[in-house]
Amino acid sequence: MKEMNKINVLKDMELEDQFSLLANHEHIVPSNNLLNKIQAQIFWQEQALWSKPKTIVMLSIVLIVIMLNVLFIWSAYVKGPIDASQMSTEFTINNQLYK
Amino acid sequence: MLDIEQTYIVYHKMVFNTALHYLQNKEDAEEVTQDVFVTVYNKQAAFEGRANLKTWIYKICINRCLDCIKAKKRKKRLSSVWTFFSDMPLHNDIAVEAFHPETALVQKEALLQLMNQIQKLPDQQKTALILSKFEQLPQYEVAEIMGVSVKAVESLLYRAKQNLNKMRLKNEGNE
Repeated sequence: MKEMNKINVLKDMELEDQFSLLANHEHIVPSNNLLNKIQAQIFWQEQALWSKPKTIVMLSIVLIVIMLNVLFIWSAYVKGPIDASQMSTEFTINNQLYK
Repeated sequence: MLDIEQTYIVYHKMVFNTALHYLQNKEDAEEVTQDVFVTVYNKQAAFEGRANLKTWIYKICINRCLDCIKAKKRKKRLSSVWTFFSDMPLHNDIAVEAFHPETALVQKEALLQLMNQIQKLPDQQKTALILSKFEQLPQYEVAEIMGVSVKAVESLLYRAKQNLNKMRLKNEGNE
């Protein structure tokens, strides 16, 4: 038991030595242009179209117009072509009513 | 308004080295560092000086590192599936790269082994170990960053060391 404890203590000491070896190294620095990259990313992010309220409003309007158009075309498609004979009958009936 | 240049000058070494301890790869550590500072800039309104800036940056850094490790694991799994269905070789960029200059010392191999073993620890234990032993932060600060109690940090460190010793014994047994 004592032997085991001794081994464990030694192992712990060895581990701590390695930790301090890894910790006490000189800090490594990233590439010099990393700050430029960060600033560029922030700049482009701020320039991005979707981040501006004006663009969001414009895009919404365009989307609504497109959707209305699609709705109009779809409804015309569902109704189908207007029958010419039916049109003329309706016209005569209407004319007679007004007379 | 946070001056990102000033913040970078003060904290870039801390962020980069923490990321390096987690990821063991310079490119990944740089990517995470970039991501951390962009997040700091974007979320400065949410910060509002409620906590210590250093603690907050550490928290962001750790989360980004863990996300990066998860993404790598996912990529590794996907590439394993890919190789199962095709003859393409596995990408080896997930392998642990020995970047630290201290690995050039006599104990190079032992340190390399230790770094590999640390990668195998559960996330919480790894975080406690990196912050406490490599970044040499006091335990109360580690507890604050991790959002746990000091007692929990102590227990995480104890279990991390136990696990490392177990891994070592297993390795020695295999040799």
